[in-house]
Amino acid sequence: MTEPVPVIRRLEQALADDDFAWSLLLVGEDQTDKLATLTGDLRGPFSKTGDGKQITSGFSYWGIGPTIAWANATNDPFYLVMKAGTESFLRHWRKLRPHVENGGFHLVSLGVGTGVKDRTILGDMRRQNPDMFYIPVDMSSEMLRLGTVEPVRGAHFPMSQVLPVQLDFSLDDNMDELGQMLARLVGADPILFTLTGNTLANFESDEDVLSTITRVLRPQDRLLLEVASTSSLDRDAAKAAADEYHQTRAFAEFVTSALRYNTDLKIDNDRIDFRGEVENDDALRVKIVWQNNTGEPIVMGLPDHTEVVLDPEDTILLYTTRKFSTERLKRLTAACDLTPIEHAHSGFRHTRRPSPFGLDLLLLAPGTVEGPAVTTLADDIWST
Amino acid sequence: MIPASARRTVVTALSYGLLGLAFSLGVIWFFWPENSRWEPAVNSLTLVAGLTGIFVERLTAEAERRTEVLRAVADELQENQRLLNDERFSPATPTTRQVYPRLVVSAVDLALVSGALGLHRDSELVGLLHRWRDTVHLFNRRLDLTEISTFSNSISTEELAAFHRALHRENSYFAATRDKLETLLTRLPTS
Repeated sequence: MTEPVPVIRRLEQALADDDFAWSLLLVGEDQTDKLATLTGDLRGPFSKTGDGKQITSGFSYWGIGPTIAWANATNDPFYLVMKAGTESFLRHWRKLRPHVENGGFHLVSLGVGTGVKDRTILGDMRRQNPDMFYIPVDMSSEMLRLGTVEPVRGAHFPMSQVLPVQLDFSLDDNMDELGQMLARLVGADPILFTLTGNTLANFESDEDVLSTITRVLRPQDRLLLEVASTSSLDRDAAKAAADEYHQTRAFAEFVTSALRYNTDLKIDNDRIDFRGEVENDDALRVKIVWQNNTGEPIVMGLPDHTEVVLDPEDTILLYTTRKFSTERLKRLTAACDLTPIEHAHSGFRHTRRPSPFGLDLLLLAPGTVEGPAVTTLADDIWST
Repeated sequence: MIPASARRTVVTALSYGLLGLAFSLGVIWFFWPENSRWEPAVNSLTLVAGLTGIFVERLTAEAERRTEVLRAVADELQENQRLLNDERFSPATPTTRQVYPRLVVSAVDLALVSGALGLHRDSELVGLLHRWRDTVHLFNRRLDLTEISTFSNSISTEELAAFHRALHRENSYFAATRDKLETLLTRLPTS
């Protein structure tokens, strides 16, 4: 009698040459827990400033409705920041690519997005390392399915080397488990983790999330971090940052989609407020909030069939994003013991007037990197 | 090879010796004029002394020019030493953007093109001065780049500090320039 063969080993054979749109997904968390978290966040206390009820990062993309809204926002030709980001990423990646192209890296994409950036990275890295794995990680299974289409179909990355993982990577325990699983999966091979599309800016504490990610980095691993940056930190810049997101209807649809699909609240775009503020004198924070400006209490039904009363002036924080100053980025990387290996920056050029905003792509290594020391422009000038 | 100073001493002594001898013979000729051979002897000695006198004059002029050039170079190097000790180059100076003083090489340039330095005698010194001239140009260029970078709008406090740190590193171009200057000052002949 032969030993039974585990289904996962047979799966590759079973799916080979099957042209049905199967997609494999490794689910790391019980999704009912996530729904409970979302519901709990929406039961927060009264706040006029968006500090009570909220939809935390990750939940903005959770479910098919928000995923479709996100896909629509990214395809909106009026969403200029998104377009500028896609274009600058290509330039930035070309500068950083030589550091990771030949190292035999596997790619772990944290927050998969549209998959366009992963497609670019995979297209270049796979030429040198055809056996590499692509492991997109996201809280939303729908985003994972949507985001992996681009690299797999666009860059012809073999589906057998893709393992989408549904996991909230902002939680310490989840990230630790992911790190251990990856270490068993790839052994001592290096991993390139990517956190692109200014995803870091969406979390309540960017430093906590970056340090959560850093703790799973082994000395041979690298982190590719893309953030929106600003060279100005005044009130005008904060207002301009808020206006940037205000310009597109598709983006407004996206930020409200999580509320629309998880509650029975009737969303009126007039109640959406884009609030820009200077955070700790080293970043600009944009809070997108829904505010009850009707003057009457509104009753909102939650997914667990309970109700919450939204008093006049009460708010629900829908989305948080930031633009980081150079000082903030340096403070963040220093606090998380990350060493920059390469850094690319470009400013936004789509505006008529000079804009203080731009995008930065950083390649970071954990701790102190062995090998050539990191030199600044000043060191280059004054070296003998 | 006879040193230039010894050569100048020998030629001078010979000229004055010949003139002295011609004078003595002239005095003897005055008291005993009956000997007709005194005249060609005095004339010949005076003629030879006149010829060697030309060399004495040329050698003395060359020596004076060389001394002047070396003195100007020494003054310039001491001025450069003072500039490198300027408080704007001090590690204790607060990290701020500033215009730095430049090192000068006009006396060195003049010394190299004047021909006052001997082809064989000063060959090592000429090599050192050429290298010093290159060092100063590269040092001043680095100061230009530092000022351009530090006076740009987007520079942060950390980047300013990086320039301060890079300038005062043990193995920076600033330290190398200072070492070269010290070496040149010790190797510069006094005359």
